[in-house]
Amino acid sequence: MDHNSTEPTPPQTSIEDELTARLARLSRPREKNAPPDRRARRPRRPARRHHAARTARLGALAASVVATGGLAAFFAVSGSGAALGIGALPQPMTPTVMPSATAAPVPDSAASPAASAVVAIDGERVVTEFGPVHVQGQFSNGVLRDVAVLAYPKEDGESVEINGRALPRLRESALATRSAPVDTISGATYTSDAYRRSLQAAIDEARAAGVVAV
Amino acid sequence: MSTPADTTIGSQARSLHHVEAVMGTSVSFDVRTPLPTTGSLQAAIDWLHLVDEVFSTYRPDSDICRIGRGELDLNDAHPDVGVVLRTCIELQRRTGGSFDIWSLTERHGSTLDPSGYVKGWAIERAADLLVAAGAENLCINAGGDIAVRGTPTAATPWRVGIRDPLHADRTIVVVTAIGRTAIATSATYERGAHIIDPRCGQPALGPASVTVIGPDLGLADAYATAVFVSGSDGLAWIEQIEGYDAMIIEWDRSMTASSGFCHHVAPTI
Repeated sequence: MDHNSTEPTPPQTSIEDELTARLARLSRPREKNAPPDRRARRPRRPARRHHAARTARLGALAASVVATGGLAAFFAVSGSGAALGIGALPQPMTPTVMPSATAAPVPDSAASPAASAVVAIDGERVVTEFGPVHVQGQFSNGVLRDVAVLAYPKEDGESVEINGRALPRLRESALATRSAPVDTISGATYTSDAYRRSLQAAIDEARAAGVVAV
Repeated sequence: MSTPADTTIGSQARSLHHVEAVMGTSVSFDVRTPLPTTGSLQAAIDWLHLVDEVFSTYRPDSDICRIGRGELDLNDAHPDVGVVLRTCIELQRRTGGSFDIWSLTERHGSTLDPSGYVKGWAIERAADLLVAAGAENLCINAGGDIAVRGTPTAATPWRVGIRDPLHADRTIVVVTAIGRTAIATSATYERGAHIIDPRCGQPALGPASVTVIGPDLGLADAYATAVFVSGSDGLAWIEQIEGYDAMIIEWDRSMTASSGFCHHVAPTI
C-alpha cells in the first residue's frame, strides 16, 4: 500500500532501527506496572479536575437523539423565543423534567412555513442518574432543523456562558450553531453504544428513512 | 442496515448512505455522487473489516496482538502493519512522545496499540477507494472522526458540527470543509479518562475536547490525541505543523484554537 502524500516520510534507517528494537522488546517478558515517570506530569488545578469528572460523567450519560444548536423548541415553548441574547447562552437545564406535552415540538409552521414535511424522529428515552433524558430531532429536507426536549435532567453548577477567552469567531459560531444545519458531527463517539445515543445516529436514521440532505 | 441502499429524492443526485458496525464503532458513509454499482461501497466496507482483522487489539488472533505477544514476526504479518508501525514511530517523534503506541494501557497482553492512528488511516483509504470508484463527493464518519472529499452539493461545503463536550444534544461550533479534509475529535466525555499520557503513564486529565482539522484523518487523529495530553503546549506545537489546526474546548466551554482554525469555522448565518 502506498503512502498518502501527507504521511511522514522519515529517514528509513533510523525508523527501521527503532522499529526493530521496539519489536524485540515486545517479545521479552515485560515488567508489569513499571513506575511511571511523574516528573513529566503537568500540574492541574484541582477545582477544574473535580468539575471535569462531574461533567464527564454527565456527558457520558446524557441524551439520546440530539440536534445542532438544539433546544430551540424548548425555548420557543418557554418564551425565550427566537431572539437568543448574545453573550448569554440561555441555560436550558432549569426544569427537572419537561413534560412531553408542554414541549410539544415541531415548530414547522412558525419557523419554516415554506418547508416541506418535517420528519420528527424520537430518540431513545434514557434514564440517567440525573433523571430521564428524551429528545426528538426534527428534519426537513433531510437537514436537522430543530430539536425538542421531551425530558431533561437538572444539572447543577454548570457554566454555559462562553467566557472572554473565547475567540470572537468561535463565540459567534457557537451562538449561530444553535440553528445551523450540519451534514455530520465530530465528537468522541468511540463505542457503538455511544453512537446509538449520538446526533450522528439521528442523522443516519433520517437518511435511512429516505431523507436526503440538501 | 446490512446492505447499502440507494435513495433518490426529487431532483437530488442519487445519494447513497450506509452505516456499518466495524472497528468497534459505527461508520457512516454518506456518498453524494452516484456510484456505478453498490459493489464499490462494499469494497470499502470490506477493507475496513480487513483492517479490523489485522489491527484489532480486541482480537487475540489479530496480527497486532500476535506481534504484541512476540508470536508473529513483522515480516510475516500483513504488509500494511509495517507501514502503520513506521508511521506511528515517526508520529511519536514528531509529537515529542505525546502520541505513543507502545506504552498505552495493556490490552489482551499486548502493549502495542496503534488504534489511535489506524482508524483514521483506514478511513482515508476507504475514502480513496470510493473516489477511485467514481464517488467524488463523500463523507465518512467513524465514531466522530470524519474524512470528506469534494462537496455535498455543487454550491455548498460540508458542514461539520463539533459536539458540545457538556451536552450530547448540541454542537458548539460548525466548521466547513471542501475537498480532502479530515476532522478528528479527542475527548473523554464518552468513556471517561481513557487517554493515557504516554510521558507519565497516567490518564490525561486534559481539556474537555480537542478537535484537529487537516488533510489526513490518521494524522489528525494522532495529533488530536497529542494535543489532548499536551494542552496549550500542544496548541503551540501544532502551529508548526503545516496544514493542521486545532481547537481546544475546556470544561468551562471556553475555546482556544491555533491561528488557522478560524478559517475553518463556518460563517455566522
